[in-house]
Amino acid sequence: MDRVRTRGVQFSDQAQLTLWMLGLLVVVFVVLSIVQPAFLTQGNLRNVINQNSVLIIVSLPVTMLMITGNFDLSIGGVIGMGGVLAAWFCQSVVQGGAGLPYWVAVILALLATTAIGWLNGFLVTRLGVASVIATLGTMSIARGIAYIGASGSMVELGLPRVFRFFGTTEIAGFFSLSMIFMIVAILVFFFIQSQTVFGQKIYLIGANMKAAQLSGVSVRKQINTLYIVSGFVSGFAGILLASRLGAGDCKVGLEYEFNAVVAIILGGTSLYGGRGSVIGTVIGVFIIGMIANTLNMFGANTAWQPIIKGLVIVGAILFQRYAMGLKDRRKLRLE
Amino acid sequence: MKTKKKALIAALLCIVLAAGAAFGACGGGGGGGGGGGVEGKVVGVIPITLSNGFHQAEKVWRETFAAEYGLTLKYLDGEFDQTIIVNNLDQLIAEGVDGIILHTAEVDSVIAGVNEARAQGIPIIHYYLEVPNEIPFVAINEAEAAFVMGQVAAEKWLEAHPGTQIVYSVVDYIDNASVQMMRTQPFIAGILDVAPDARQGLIIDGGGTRDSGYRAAQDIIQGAPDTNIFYGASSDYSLAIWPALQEAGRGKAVNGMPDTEILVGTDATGEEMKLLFDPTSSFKVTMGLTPKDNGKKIIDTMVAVMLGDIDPDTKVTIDTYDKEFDFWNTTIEEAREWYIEQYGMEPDF
Amino acid sequence: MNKLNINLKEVSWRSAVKNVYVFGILAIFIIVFTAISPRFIGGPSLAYIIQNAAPLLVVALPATLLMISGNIDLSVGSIVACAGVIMAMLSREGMAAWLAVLIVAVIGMGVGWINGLLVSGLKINSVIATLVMNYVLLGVAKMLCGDTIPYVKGVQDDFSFIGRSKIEGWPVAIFFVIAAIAIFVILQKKSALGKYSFAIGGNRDASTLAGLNTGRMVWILYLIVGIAAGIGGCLMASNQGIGNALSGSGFELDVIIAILIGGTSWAGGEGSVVRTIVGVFILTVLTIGLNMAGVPSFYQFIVKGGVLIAAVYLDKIVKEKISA
Repeated sequence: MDRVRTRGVQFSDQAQLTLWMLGLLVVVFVVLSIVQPAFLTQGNLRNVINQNSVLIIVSLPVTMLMITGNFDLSIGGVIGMGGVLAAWFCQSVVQGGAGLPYWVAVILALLATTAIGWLNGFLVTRLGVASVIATLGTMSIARGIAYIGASGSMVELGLPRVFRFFGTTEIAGFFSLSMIFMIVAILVFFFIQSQTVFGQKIYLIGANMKAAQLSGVSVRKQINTLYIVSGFVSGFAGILLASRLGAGDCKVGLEYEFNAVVAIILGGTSLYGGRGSVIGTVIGVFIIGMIANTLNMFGANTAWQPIIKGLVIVGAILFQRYAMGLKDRRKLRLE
Repeated sequence: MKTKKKALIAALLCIVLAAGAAFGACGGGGGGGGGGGVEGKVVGVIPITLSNGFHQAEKVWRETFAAEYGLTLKYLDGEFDQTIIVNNLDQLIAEGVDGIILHTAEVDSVIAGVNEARAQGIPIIHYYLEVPNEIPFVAINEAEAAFVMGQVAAEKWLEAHPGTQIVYSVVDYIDNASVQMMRTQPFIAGILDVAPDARQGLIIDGGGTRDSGYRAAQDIIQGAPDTNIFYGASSDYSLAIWPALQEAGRGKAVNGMPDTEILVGTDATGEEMKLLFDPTSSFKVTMGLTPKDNGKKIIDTMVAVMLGDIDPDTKVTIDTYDKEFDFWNTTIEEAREWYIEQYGMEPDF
Repeated sequence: MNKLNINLKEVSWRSAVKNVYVFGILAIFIIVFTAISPRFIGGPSLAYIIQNAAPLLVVALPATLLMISGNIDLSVGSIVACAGVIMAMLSREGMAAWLAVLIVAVIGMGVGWINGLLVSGLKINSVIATLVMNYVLLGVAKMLCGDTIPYVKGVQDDFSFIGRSKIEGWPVAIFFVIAAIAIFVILQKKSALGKYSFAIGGNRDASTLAGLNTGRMVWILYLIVGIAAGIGGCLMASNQGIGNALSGSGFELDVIIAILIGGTSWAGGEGSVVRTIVGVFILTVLTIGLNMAGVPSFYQFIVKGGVLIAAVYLDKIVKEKISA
C-alpha cells in the first residue's frame, strides 16, 4: 500500500518535471527562431531531427539503466565497433574483408555488440564492478576492436551497394530511415517504461535496490537485460551511422556517451536512479541539438560552443531544481 | 602495525632496487652499432597519426624501403595529439634509437626535444611541417596543389554558371595549423585569384570524425544554402559532405559540368576518385599525397643523414609534392596508374 | 583483552596486504616490460617516466582526498589545459616563469572555488557539475588561444625549466613530485581535513549531525584540487614548451583511473594517497612500456580497458577477502 502510494507520487513528480522541461524546450525553440531566421525552416527542422535521431535511439536504453542507478558509458565505443564490424564482415575479400552477405554481416555485428552489452551486465551484476568503471573499460575495449577492425581508419572500399540502404532510403520524401527508427524506438521504450511490469521494476530497483530484491524483483536479470538491450541498440545505431556515411569508421561515436549522459540528466533523470523518463531524454537531446545547430549556422567560433552549451546545462539543472522546489512548496502549503 | 610497515619497506626496497638496476643498466644500454652502413639500426618514427589511409600506405612503403637498407622502423603513433607527439619524442630519446623521423602537428613544442636528440647524437629529420631547428627537412609542397584546386574549382564554376558570385564553405580542421597553412588558406587564395569577389559562406570545424563532419556539412547546407564551392579539408570531411549534399537533393552535375555546386576533396582516396570520375556527381576536384614517393624520399634522406652524406645539423630542404586531380584535366587511366603506383592496390574506380 | 589484541593484529596484517598488493602489480609490470625491452629500466627512461608522471601525480593526489570525501572532479583535464595556456600567455608577455606559475595556481584555486560553489553551494551532483565545467573550460582554453589554432607560442626561455630541464640527469619535475607526495600524504594522515574527508565520504549525514561543516570541507578540497591542477597544467605546458588548449583531453580520466587502480573507493569513505601514487606509476609504466615494446596504439585501448576492469575487480576481491 505504502509502496504504491510513493510510486504514485513519483510518477506525478516525473510528469510535472517533464512538463517543465517541455516548456523549456519551447522557450529555447522560440528564442532560436527569433535570433536565427534560418533555424525555423522546414529543411532545417528536419535536419535537426535527423541529426539527433541516432543519439536519441542510443540514449533510450541508457536512460532506463540510469533509472536503475547504473551507467552505460560504453555506447560510444560500441557504436564505432558495430559500424566497423558490419562493414568489415561484408567487405569484399579482395579488399581485405570477410566477403559475407550484408544481412549476415549485420547479424554478426549485432551479436558482437550484444556480447559487449552482456559483458557489461556480467561485470556489473556478477562481479560487482561499479558500473562507471566497468563500462568505461568496455568502452575502451570496444573502441580498440573498432580500431583494429578498420586498421585505425575506416572500412570503405569494396562494400556492397546494399550497405547504403539504411542510410539513404527515404520515406514520403521526408522521413529518413533513422528518423523512423527513432520514432519506433521512442514509442517502444515509452511503452515499456509506462505500461509494463518490466518498466515498473526499473523504478523500484533505482529507488531502493534492496527493497526491490526483497519484494521479489530479480535485480540482476533486470539490469543484465537492459545492458544487453543497450549493446544491441548501440550496435544497431553504429550500423545506421556507417550506412549513412558509406563506411565503417572506427572513430564514429566519440563523445556519444557524454552527450547521452548530459541529455538524460537534462531530461530530469536522476544520477542516483529511481527517477527519470525516456520522454525527458528526448527533450534533453533536442534542447542541446537545437542550440548546437544554431551556433553552427552562426559560424560561431568553436570555442564558444562548449561555453554556451555548458551554461545552458547548468541553467537547466538549476531550473529543474527551482521547478521541483516550487511544487514542493505548494505541497507543503496544501498539507 | 609492524607487519604493515615491514611490507611497506619491502615494497619500497623493491622499487629502490629496481631504480638502482636501472641506473646500472643504462651504462650498458646506449652503445652498439658503430662502423659503416646502417644495417641493423633502429629508426624511431613519429607519424602525426596512423588513423588515416595515406599514413598507413606510407608506413608500408617506408618499411619496404627501410628493409632494403636493413633498417628497422619503430613506429610511435602521434594520434593527432601534440601532447602524445612530444611524449613520443621524449620516449625515443630515452630509449636511445639510432635516428628519428618526426612529423609534428605543432613546431614550437618539439624544439627542445629535437635539441636534446641532437645533444645525444641522435640524427633527426622532420617531415611536412617545418621545425626551426637546424636539421634536414623533407617538405611536401601541398599548398601549391591546394592553390590550383581553388583556381580550377572557381574557373569551372564560373564557366558553367557565368555571372554568379562564388560562395565557398569549408568543413575544416580549424584547430590544425598545418592544415590551415597547407590546405585551407591556399585553397581559398586560389579561388580569390580567379574570382576576387568570392564570398565566404560558412567555415565549420568538422570535429575530427566523418560522423561529426557530416553533421557540420548538414548545418552548412542549412545555414549557407547558396554555397557553390564546398571544400573538405580531408577525405573524411569531403566524403562527409557528399552524403549531406545528396540528402539535400544536391550533389549533381550534368556531363561533368557542375550543376548544384562543386565539391572539392583531399587525399584522392579510391572512394573520392570514384565520385570524381562520375560525370553526374558534383565531386570534381581533389589532391593526392604520394605515399610511395614520400616514403622513399624520407627513408633515403634518413639514411643519408645517418651515413653522414647529409650534415645532420644543417637545414637541407628536400621537396616532394602533392598531385592535383580534377575531372577536366585528368584522365581516368592516368588516375588509376597513379593510384596503383602509389598505393600498390588495384583501385575500384 | 588478549583476544582483542590478536584480532587487532589480524586486522592490521590484512590491511597491510590491502596496502601493499598494488606495489606488487607495479613490480610485475616493471619486470615484464624490462624482460621485453631491457632499455625500459635504463636511467634516461626512469627520468622520462618521472617527468611524464609528474602532472598526473600532482593532480591525482589531492583528487584522491576529494574522492575519499565522496566527490569527484572531472574538470581537471580542462583546468590543466587552461592553466598551461594562461601560463604561456603570461610568459609571452614577458613574465618570469615562477611568477606565472604562482598566478596560475591562484587562478586554479578560483576555478576550484567555482566547482565548490556548484557542488557545495548549489548542491549539484559533483559528476555532472564538474563534467560540465570540464566542457566549459575547454571552450575557455580554446578561446584564450584565439580564433585559429589551439596553441599559445612565443614564450620566454625560462618557460621550459620546470617541465623539461634536468639537473644531474634528474628532471626538475621530480621536486614537484616529491613535494606533492610529502604534502598530501601528511595531509591525509595528519591533518583534520584528511580525517574529515574519510568521515564525510563514509557517512555525510552523520558527519553533518556530528557538527562538521561538510559543505565547507568539500569546498576546500575543491580549492586544493584546483590549485594542484593549475600547477599540473604548468608542468605539462612547460614540458611541451607551448600553451596547448587540447593538452587536457582524457587527463581527467587518467586521474580517475589512477585513483581507482590505487583502490580508492568510487563511492568515497575509503582510500589512500600512497596507493594513488602507485596507481599513477602503474598507468604511466603501462603506457610507456607498451610503447617501448612496440604495441600499436590500437591495441593499447584494449589492454588499458582490460587493466582498468581487472584492477578494480582485484581490489574488490582483496577487500572482500580482508573483511571476510
